Amino acid sequence: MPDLLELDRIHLAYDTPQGPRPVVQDLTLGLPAGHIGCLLGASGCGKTTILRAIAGFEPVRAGQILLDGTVISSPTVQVAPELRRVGMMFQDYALFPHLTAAQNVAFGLRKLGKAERAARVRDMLEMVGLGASADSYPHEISGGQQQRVALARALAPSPDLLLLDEPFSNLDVDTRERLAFEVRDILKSTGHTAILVTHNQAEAFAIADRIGVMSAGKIVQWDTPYNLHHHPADGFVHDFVRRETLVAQRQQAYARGM
Amino acid sequence: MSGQLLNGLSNTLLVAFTATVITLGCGLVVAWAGRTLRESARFNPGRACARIASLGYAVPGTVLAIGLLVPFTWIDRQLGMAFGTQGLLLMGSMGALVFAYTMRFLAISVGGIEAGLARIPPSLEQASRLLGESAGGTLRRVHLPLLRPALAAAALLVFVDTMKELPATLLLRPLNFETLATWLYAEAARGTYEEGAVAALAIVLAGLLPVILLARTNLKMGH
Repeated sequence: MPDLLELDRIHLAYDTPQGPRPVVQDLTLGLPAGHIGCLLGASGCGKTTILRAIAGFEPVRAGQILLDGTVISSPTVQVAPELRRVGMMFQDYALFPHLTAAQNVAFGLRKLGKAERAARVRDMLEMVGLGASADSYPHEISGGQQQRVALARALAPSPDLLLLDEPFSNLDVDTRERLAFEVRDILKSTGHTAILVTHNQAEAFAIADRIGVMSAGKIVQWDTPYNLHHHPADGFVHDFVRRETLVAQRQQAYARGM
Repeated sequence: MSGQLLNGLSNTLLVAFTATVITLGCGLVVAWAGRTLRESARFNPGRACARIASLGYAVPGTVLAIGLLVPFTWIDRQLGMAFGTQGLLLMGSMGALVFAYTMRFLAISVGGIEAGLARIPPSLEQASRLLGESAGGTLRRVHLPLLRPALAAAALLVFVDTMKELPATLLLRPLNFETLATWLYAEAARGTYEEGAVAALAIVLAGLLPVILLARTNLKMGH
């Protein structure tokens, strides 16, 4: 199966007064259609910058990004974000505070007719279980509900690719786990391709088909969760995965009162 | 006397309203450019424009007006030669006056709108773009509605400031064009303070009106 998203030896850098500071160097990965990929790493390792580059907010200094076989980012090509057919869920939800939940979901559906749009909005809100909150404003609903509206809004225009930027980090632990599984089920049922960025390993293993363990702007291993556990590429991945698993086990034990 | 009052009042409101609309429009463009045009970390042309645009606030009205007299009479002469018209097109209308007000009070609108924009998280703009909206559409559908309180506050400040501006008005107004401020000044200079008091009260009342309006809309929005 050809990959829907391909990052081909991309370099990313930030402009600073002292000149460009490299963030991501020579990074290559591919994600087949219908799969959920995950970039896992500590903060500052460049994973959010990669997401911004795929969305079109960050220029690539070298290499290219292909979506469905078309170059969308390279040093010479920069397709505008609104033309990429890429959706995104943000860490801070980024719901429009002056619009209701239904109006937020309808924001990207301007090309549809009125009746069609209303039907689509209703379907999307039903899908995330928020049919009753259609007329609520973002500040009137809980964080978990806001995140569901954000998911419905991002999926409403049926983007080719969905980006999730630490989407659950602002939620409490219970909601986070429930919503992570829910989001996976929704994405799998609609057949969407997605890339998740997180520093939380439990989240990554709960959602992703492919996980890329990142360190200092490089992907150390891009593989299935099973292989990461059982065939880590090197000591870093081994320690990283093991340490997090240990912490998760301790937390569970603590929660059980042991 | 009441004719004079009405004339002064309508002149003041007209010129203040025009100047406010133009100042807000320019302020929006400048503040938006300062946020959007970021070519490199070292130099930001938009931000530089915003700083230059704010200089007018520091210049005394008299200095600004005299500085504008020369270029405006030159432009008027060129216009006159080009179109064969008599008299001064810009100086004779309110054009020069509105231009001076805009230069003088642009800092207020740029500052207010920049502060308003700073409160809007960048992720909202990114979300809008990824939902298929262009940069201009994003400004219209996301930023303008969210900027309404900031725009209203800036409009109020510019409007009130323009209404009572005196030195530039005295120098740049067309002949026989009296605003409340110039009328008040003339009466006070003549020593007829009772007449001047009417103009002063009219300025206060006309300035109160937008304040009340703003307070009401803020109350209605609930926050």
